[in-house]
Amino acid sequence: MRCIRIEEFDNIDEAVVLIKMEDEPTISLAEKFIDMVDESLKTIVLYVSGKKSLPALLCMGAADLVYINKNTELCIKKEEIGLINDKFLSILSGIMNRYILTDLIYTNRTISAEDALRLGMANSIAGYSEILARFKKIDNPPFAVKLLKRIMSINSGLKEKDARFVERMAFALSFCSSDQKEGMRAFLEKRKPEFKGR
Amino acid sequence: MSRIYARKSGKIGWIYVYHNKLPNPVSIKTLESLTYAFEKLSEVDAIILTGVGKSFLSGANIADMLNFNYSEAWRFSACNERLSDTIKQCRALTIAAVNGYCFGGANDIALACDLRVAKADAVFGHTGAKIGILTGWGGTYLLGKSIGTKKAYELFFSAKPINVQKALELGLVNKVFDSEHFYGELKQFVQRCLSRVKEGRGILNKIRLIS
Repeated sequence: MRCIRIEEFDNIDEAVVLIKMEDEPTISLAEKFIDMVDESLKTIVLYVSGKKSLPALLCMGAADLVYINKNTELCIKKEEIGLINDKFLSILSGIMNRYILTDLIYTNRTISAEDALRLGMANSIAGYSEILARFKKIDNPPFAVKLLKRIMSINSGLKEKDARFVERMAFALSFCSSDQKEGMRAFLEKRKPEFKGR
Repeated sequence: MSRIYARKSGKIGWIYVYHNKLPNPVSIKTLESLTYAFEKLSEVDAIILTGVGKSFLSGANIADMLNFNYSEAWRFSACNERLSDTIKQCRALTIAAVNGYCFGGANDIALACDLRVAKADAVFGHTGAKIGILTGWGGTYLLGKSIGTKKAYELFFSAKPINVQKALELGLVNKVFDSEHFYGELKQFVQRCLSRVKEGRGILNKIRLIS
């Protein structure tokens, strides 16, 4: 696991990346981040704190796991509304329903950390040191976790029948990995698995 | 191996999964028997699927799966298709009454039901990542729809079991019943559901399509 700032996201080898977002990124940086996350098979963990607006919301939508500080406040600024294109809309609708989104746009609503958690926009509210300690303990995830990230992203836009088909392919593919053999052997031998990510 | 026992009591159909030993692995035979039981209870208004003992269902037998190749893994995943379709096409309201451990594929089967209720000491988990696989019976889709993709990803990624309070908080279960009075409270809950069955039937299939 590696901890970085959002600007440093390129060229990271680790399977799990923790990104601490203190300053609001620019829209162009957020867009670059979204594209990179989309192409990446790494697990991207984002930590957000303070007052944030559209770029941060987009990054939250793109990340796999999102943890927020209790002081986090999320909004969409008036001048950012015109920047919301179809791609951004699709990302935003993945982390909030259309009523909340309309609220953010038209009523200048601010979403508190508690609201963000309740709405499913974040995994939990915690201090950065707690999240850092939690992810430092995480071992290298198996190849199946890489597949999982793609499958969940693809499946969110599919009908159940098609999603099941995609999942089945990924499930079968995970049995072609050395990590599956290692994981199951370790389980049967009652020891900790040593995954290689392939 | 698990044994499936189905019975009809008035307008309620009960499907019990008995376990010979713990943890109870789900085999292809178990899935076929469950499908048959759901089909047989086609005339009732509500079907309750529950386990007997400490476990609801506990996923697949790891020793059997260790040397699966791509085709065998595909077939194993596909064998749940008929059960999922049968549950989804059921005329009756389907309720998974989770009485204990509910891991891996068992979670997917519970998620295929319309409602999930649980005993206060039930434990849920998608622990596939610990053994190098992901779930193969619809869970990546159904869990994401049920609790949101971020929280679903966290459950899969961490592979850690969660207790019933956490499951309730996440929206994975609809109701939790006291361990001592589980079946009594479950019966009352089902009776309440049945009082609305006439009104609900028309929309049930449409709701199933939304998910």
